[in-house]
Amino acid sequence: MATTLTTAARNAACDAVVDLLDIGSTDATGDIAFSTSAPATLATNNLANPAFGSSSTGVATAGTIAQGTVSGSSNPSTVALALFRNRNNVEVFRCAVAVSGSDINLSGVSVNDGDTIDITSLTYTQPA
Amino acid sequence: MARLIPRPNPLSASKALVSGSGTVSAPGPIKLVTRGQPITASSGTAANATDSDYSSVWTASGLPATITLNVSAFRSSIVPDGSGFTPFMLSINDIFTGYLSGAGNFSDYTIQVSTASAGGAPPTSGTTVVTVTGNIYAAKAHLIDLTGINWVIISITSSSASFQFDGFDCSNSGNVAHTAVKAGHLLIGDSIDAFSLALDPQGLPGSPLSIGDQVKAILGGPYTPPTQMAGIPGWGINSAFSWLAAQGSSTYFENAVAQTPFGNIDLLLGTNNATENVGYSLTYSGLVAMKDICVTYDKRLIIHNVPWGFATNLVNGRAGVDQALIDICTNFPGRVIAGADRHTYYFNNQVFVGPDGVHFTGDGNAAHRELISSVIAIYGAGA
Repeated sequence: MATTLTTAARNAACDAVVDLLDIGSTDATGDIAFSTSAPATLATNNLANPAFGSSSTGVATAGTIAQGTVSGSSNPSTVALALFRNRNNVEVFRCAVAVSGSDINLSGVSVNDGDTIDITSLTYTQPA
Repeated sequence: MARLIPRPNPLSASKALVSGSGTVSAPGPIKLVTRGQPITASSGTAANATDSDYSSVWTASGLPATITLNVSAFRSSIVPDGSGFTPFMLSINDIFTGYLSGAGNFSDYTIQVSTASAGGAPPTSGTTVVTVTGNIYAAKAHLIDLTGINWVIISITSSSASFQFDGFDCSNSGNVAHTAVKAGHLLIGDSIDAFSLALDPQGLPGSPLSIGDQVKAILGGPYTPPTQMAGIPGWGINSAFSWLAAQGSSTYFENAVAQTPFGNIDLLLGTNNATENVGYSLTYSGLVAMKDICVTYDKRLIIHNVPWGFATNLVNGRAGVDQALIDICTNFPGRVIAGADRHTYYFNNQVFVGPDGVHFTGDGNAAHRELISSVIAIYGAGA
């Protein structure tokens, strides 16, 4: 049978992962590196510290995320991945990025230098 | 005999999910941030260089001369891009004729920057970041890193003539100044183009706005892209393509393209160009060479076609030129872009063409200014 996590276990698992983003000392915060599929970083959005609030029923909601500005684009380049990195810029987890039907949906993924990326909502969920 | 050891069924759980949404936005509007900023000079009325009236110019009583701009008020609003690049676009313009080279250009000059207190007296010197000798261009643009800088000083030691300086203009976009530079335009055309597109052309009806201000008016917002004029008196097809002949290690056209930081090269072959009847092949091969140069320097070539006119040479000679202009846009999409349809515009507004059938009337010049501004407005900030 499939394993079913209790709510307490879901919260513990969720918090354990997102709290990894707060580890480190190089930068003041963890960040999201929006990248090509290679991946090559196109923009970096700084997370809050702590990056996420405490999990509730397996869902942690991100704090305020700073705006990122695109540079190093081939004008245009395509954003395909979001790499979540801790304060030492070590990747903790990654997810897909697209215009719709993806983990993170942006209004557009074809970006040029000088474009800005703003994240309006972000959650991390540990299912039951 | 090996024993098969049954494996336990692995525990399984649903994978964690990230769910989010966000927006990607193009750069903010390009603002002319230097206008009205504190400025001093060794002599003359320095404020004329940063006011909104391009007919008022700064001149000095003699050389060497310096003009010093306090950049502290806007410097912090210029956001460096990911590489730490914090550019400052400085235009030194020949304001009246729009010619590539003419009265008002500085031959030898330096640009210095200073971290001296913004609230103190203007410094008389700083760290030299740009040194130019033997400059031929009446309009120049430089990129200067303003990180920590409060003052920018231009020191002119040699000038081609009694200079007229009215272009201490710095543009930056709402988030990355580099974008403003890429969105700038170098306008290359004949004397008709140069005259009508100059910063402050003489003899036009009313008080014409600069091209940047006109774009701002069209868009109804703080969008003032920088422009640099490179007009050539009497520029015809043959003389235009003589720009492609070697001049030292390069060509005049290549030198003009290479020296500008702006991302758009506007080619305005004018009515003069079609009167020489050089035909399709020479025109097309010249355009391809110009396109190749623009590709080398990562510029976008914008082709504005030949205005309508009724002079006999123009009517008889333009067919090959017109077709070459169409084909260069068709054959190199993305790198060569069709700009203003000046032929149709002046055909539909024949009253704007003067009695010689080649030059614009005063109103025709003003209309040309609006037409080109509208195209720049369409292309927007580095789009």
